[in-house]
Amino acid sequence: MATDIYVWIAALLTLSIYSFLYKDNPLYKAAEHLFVGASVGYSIVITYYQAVLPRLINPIFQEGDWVMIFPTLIGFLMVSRFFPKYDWLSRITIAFMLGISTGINLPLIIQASLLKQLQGTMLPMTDINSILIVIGVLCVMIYFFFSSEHKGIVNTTSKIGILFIMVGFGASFGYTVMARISLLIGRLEFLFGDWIHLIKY
Amino acid sequence: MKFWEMLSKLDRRIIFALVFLAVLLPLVFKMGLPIKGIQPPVKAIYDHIEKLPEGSTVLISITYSPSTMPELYPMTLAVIRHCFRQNIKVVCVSLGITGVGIGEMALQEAAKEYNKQEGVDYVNLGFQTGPVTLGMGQDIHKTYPTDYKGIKVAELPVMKNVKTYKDIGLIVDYTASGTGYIGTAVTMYNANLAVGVTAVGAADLYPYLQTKQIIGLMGGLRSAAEYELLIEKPDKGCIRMDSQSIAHLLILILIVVGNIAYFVTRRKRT
Amino acid sequence: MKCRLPVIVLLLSIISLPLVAQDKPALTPPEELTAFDAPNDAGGRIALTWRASEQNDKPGVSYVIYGALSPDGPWQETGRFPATIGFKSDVPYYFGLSEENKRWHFFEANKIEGLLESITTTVYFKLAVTDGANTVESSIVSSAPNGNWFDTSKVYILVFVAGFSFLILFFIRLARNNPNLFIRHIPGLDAIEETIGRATEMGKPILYLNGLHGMDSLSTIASTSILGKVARKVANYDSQIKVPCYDPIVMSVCQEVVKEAYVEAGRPDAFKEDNIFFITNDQFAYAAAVDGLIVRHKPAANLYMGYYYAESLLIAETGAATGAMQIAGTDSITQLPFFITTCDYTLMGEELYAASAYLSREPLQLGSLKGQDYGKGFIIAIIIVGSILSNAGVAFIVNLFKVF
Repeated sequence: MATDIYVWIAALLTLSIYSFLYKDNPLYKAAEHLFVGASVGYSIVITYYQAVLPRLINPIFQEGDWVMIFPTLIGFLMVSRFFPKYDWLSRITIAFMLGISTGINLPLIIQASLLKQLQGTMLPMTDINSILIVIGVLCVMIYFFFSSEHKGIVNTTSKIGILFIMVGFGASFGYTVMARISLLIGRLEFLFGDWIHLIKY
Repeated sequence: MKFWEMLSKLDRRIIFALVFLAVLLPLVFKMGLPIKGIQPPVKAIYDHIEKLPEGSTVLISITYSPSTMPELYPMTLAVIRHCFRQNIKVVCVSLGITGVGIGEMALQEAAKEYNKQEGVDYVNLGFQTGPVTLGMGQDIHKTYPTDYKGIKVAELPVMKNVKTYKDIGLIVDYTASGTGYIGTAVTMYNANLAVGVTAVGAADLYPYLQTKQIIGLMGGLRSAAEYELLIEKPDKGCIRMDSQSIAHLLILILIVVGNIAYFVTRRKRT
Repeated sequence: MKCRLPVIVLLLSIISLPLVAQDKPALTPPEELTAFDAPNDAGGRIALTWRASEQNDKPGVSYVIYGALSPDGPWQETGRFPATIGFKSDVPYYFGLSEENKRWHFFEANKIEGLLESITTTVYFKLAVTDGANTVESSIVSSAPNGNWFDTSKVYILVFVAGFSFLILFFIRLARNNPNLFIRHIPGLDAIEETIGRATEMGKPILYLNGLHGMDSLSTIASTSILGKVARKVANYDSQIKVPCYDPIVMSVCQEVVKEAYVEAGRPDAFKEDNIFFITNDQFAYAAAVDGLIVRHKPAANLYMGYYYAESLLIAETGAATGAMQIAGTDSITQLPFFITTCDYTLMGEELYAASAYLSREPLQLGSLKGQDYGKGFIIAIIIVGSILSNAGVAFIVNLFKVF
């Protein structure tokens, strides 16, 4: 058995969370609330020391970079949500965030996820993989064509499209089984290795 | 027929117990099942690092939390070990808050083995808010003014010649899901990117592998074990593969038996 | 006799040394070195090109680029690479796809270490080619970097965005004149009204999740749009909706959207801001909290719209266990299988985006959907034509994409 108090805390919390498999109970509730609280607390501390302090407070107060005050003010407008009369001010911040995100992402998505993938699709059909890629992409795109009823040739191709989608889902399922088993391995290693020392390395 | 009916109504808790045993027993009684064949996307990452000249820099990006550590930590450690073995410098960043500690743990563990010095051979820059993957393309020093411990990045010897993605030989993004580097680092700055991802997210990334937007891919525990074999340092990834293989075998049997039971009992009903 | 053999070998080796040295051709000075301002940048970069040479471009030979602020020096090494790499053909977005580019070397200088962080004034460059023993230098060239207002390599994005925007605007106009533009039936959508009705009958709340992405994600935008329609129906039915959020900004947007829906439904008094709340932005802590909510409040219906990761099955399985009616909509391909197995209806991929337009029948959304459809038609046409041409040996369209 482990003598480290932190290992014991972690093990008991793991068991508390697993108790949900039986049914919802106070132990699970306590662990859940502790988890949420700890993750928010950790986020606040890390964000303060790694982002707010070196990128906002230090530049303004130590390096005299006063320009930083403007984005800070825009960010502070979010606080207006606590005052119903002025909560419209927070929309400025949201609009700012949305505008920047769209501006940055739109060209990048078109370039990285549309044009590059188009280029990767239009390959000379020299092997079965490249033939499957072209047929699969076309049929799945036709399935997601909303302006025509699924009848005739559209129906046939969209059904082939669904087949491709289902094969994709099968691959995902397989991969997910692998992922979930890995997570279980990790936890059992901790419980039976670090905690009760049944697993030896 | 009763047997099949019983199987089709099998209590799920029995399946839980079987999976539990299939995972636990190989961990307790080591089997050392062979791991055969290395996937080309995993080998591609290994080859890329092998070809990097001594003194180059690899950026390790941690975008996962402790919950996915069993899958991703072994591959993180394996690549860092490989870099240190090749005398390649490692710069670690975290795109998620919970990744900071994980990066630190992996760096410390590998640095101890290869006698590497913090600030000279490696650094953990930690977490930063905002469009970080974009910012690093312009200036890493501005994006991360200090490292994880608050030391000014400009004062660190390891960061002296590392200003943008151009100074980085390879980015390896470890993520529980998709990667944020394709749109920015790869598309805008032509950086070399490899991704280590949980098995759940691997299928999503194959299209990018096909278009060569990522140079290599490690998906799930199996890839971690393969990388450990490539660097000839078998560790947790290889050990865990015993449990993984036995559990997969059990699940395959359950799927086959379950489907037979379903069709037999359905035929009886009709 | 025994000691004679090594002496003869030694003598032969000494005699043959000049012959070996003569076999190794001498390095030649790099030719036609040119420096010019790197195009399409914010300044601070200078491109250097020089003609590839059969004599120099061999394994073991390196190019070394030196920079200085004056033609008299001091010279600083700004780059070094093997002579077998670094060609104009590596950067087709600068120089196109001409075969000639394979016969020209290329290097981009963006800093001169120790002198300048980034280049801002006229800088002088010279190039050396070295095999370790011998070094040959080129003549000196110079250039000054300039920032560009417009990145011409991105013109195609402008064309794409302009083309699609035109299509969408055209169909929005069309939808204004004819709001009955055809959209094929999406079965999962009809179920939304049914779930709200069911929740009202049972007197239980509806749980609505927006996924784990921020407001920059298309799926989150579509999800908040559907939330508006759902909230309006909830307000009409006098039911209740709970929206636990993963992202604080998404939470703020959702509060606005739901509030507006209640106002539009003429029920501003029934709006409770506390029902749209932030939990945490830790993936599994969020999943644990939502699971707890589902088990304790037992919502009559759970709607999962947006982008999800590994938590999808944890949440949807708990929802299914409580017997709630569940509708999911996500463009997260890897999570779709889990929603399909645990939910009553699932909107796959783009159906999520179509859902909003289908529900509202508003010209703006209808037109957008139709515009997107015709955009897809255009892409399908490009793939078909591109594939046929590339199989016929004409790589024009594929090369067009390579440049970008």
